[in-house]
Order: sequence, then C-alpha cells, then structure tokens
Amino acid sequence: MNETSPIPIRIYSEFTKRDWPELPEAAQDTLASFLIDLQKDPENTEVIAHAQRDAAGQLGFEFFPGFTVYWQIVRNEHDPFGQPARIEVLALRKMGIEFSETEKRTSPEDESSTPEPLDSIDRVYSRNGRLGNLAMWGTLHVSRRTRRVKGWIVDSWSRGGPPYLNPKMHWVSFPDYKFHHMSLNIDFRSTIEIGPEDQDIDPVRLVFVHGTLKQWEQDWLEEESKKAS
Amino acid sequence: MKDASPVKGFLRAADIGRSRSSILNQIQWTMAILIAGIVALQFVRAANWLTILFAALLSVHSVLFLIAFIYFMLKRPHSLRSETFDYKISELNLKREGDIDIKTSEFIQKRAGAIQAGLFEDVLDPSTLKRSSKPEDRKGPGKR
Repeated sequence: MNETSPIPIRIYSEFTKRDWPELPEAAQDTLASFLIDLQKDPENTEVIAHAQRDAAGQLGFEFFPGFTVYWQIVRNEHDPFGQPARIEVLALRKMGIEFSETEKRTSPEDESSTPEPLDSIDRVYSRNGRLGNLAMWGTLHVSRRTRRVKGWIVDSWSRGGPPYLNPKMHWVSFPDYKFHHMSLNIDFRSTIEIGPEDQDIDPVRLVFVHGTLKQWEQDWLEEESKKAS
Repeated sequence: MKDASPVKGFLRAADIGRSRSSILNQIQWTMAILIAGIVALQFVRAANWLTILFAALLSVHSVLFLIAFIYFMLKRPHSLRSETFDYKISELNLKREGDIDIKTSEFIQKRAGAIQAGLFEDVLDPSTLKRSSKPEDRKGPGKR
C-alpha cells in the first residue's frame, strides 16, 4: 500500500438510512468531500487543529454550518503507533437542541389553546470547574427563536470526600436560576425535556452551582465584549 | 531556610521511579542498577570479568534506551512524558472552549462500542454515499 492509498471508512449503522438523508444536499456534498479528504490524510494538521476533541481522542468537526461529524482514528492492534487502519464515523449531529417543557403541557388549559411553537437552543459557552471536592460542568444556551439566554445545562457532583453528592444534571433557567429536572437525549436531533422544579436539591449543591454559574456568566460576558470590540 | 538544594529539585524533575512515569522507566532503572553495580564492584575489587559483564550489559541497555527513545520520540512523543503529564493534558483539553461536552462524548463512545459489536457498514468510496443512500421516498431535510 503506498502512502496515498485511501484509508477505509467505517460508519455506524444508522448513518446511511436515517441520518444522511436528513442532511441538506449542500451538507451531503460537503461531508462526502470532507470524508474523502480525511481518507487521504486522516491526520491532517489543519483538520485536527480545528476539531473538537474529547479525552478518549475522538474528534468532532463542524463540516457545514449547524452540522457536526464525529469520528475516531483506529490503528492496527499489532502496531498501535503505526499508520491508521481505518476511520470510524461515530455520529452526525445537527447542532441545536429541541427544547420542550413538560410542565407547560400538563395543564388542561394548554390543550385547548394554540401550542407554543417548538424552540431549539444553541450552546454558546461551556465550562468545567472544581471547588474542593465539588465539581461541575455547564453549558450556556440561547433560544434559537429569540436569541435570548435561556439557561444552563449543568452536571454537578463531588469527588474524593465530603460533601457526598451523586452526579445530577439540572436545567437551570435564566434569569431566575430555578433548578429543574431534565432529560437530555443526544443524537442526530438532540432533544431536551425540562421537567418540574427540583425541590429537594442539596443546599451545598445549590450554592455551589449558583455561585459558579454567576461567575461563569460574568466571564462569558467579558469574553463576548472582547470579541465585539 | 531556602529549599534544600538544586539536587533535590533535579531529582524531583527526573522523577525516576517515583511513579509509573515514562515508558522508558524500566530501562532507566536497570541502567542505574548496573552503574551502581559497576561502582560497587570497583570497591570490592571483584574479578575483571564481572566488571566487563556489567559494562557489556550497560552498553546493551544504553543502545536499547537510545533506540527506544528515538522510536517513541518520532512515533508517540507523549509516552516519554509521565502519566501525570498525560493526565494534566487531558484535563486541560477538557477545559478547552468548544470541546466535545461530556454528554456528547458519552454518546459517541456508546456508538464506538456499537461499531465494535458489529453494527457498522464499510464505505470504500465516500463519493458513492450521495448516490447510494438517498432512498426514493426520501423526505426533505427537517422532516422525518
């Protein structure tokens, strides 16, 4: 095999039947070209430099506005430091999360009235943070419809000592900072369903998340103002 | 009092054997033991053949160390750093703006598992995707 031989691509089972047809044609063309380029040079420094990554070494790239592809480079078991054996395409995602609130739908009056149009939320900022044994990550989201800040998706937990908090995800609405139960489903079309307010939240978790989010919002605003100036 | 010495600092920086650090740690340790052995042999005035044997072993290890170092330097440089360094880099990577968030990371790792379990298709030429994957009854984008 010479150096320019394209590397095989392995795609997840729902790719061709379910997700690919959902892409706009221009996005399909762009993705096909992107994969061809990746096949030729899977470690293209330009792509790697602009890709998102996670701790496991999987990569993500917004190949078309609003659409991201995730992949990993697999090497031969017998030669783990050698040339890539194949590229595995792990997911396609439409950015933006479809947003729904269960509480609003449950009241009987709502059934007769015109249903509120579905909104999507876009991630604009993300952070990880620790304070002693407490840790959390959060992503700030704005409404796609109004472009106003809608709230935070927050996961918080403790590690290595007291206070002992199990990992728990909340939707923290903006600007009232109410903690809601939530269910987040990540897929080609991601959805988030906001449940009722969490009344039993541990006070330590509450104070920690609250304080951290306020600080992060300040940082976000500062960063945004720097970008604007 | 000032912190003890540059020697302490050097030892800390060298970090030999304090943790499972660089991939070459075992070879480094063997070399250190062989050098100590050669020095000890001089003190006890051991037979020359024993010193020669230790010196030969040390030479073999030095060559092996050099080869391995150059190999990892070219192929996998981060293996030459300590695990702590790797961990810190991963942590920093996690904190980079715009990185894959934890929920998405969990999702794509599940997908990687599904592929490993045999739920995949192989694509030899991505340019065929457009022709082969659009069923006739395809709905437009945004409709499912």
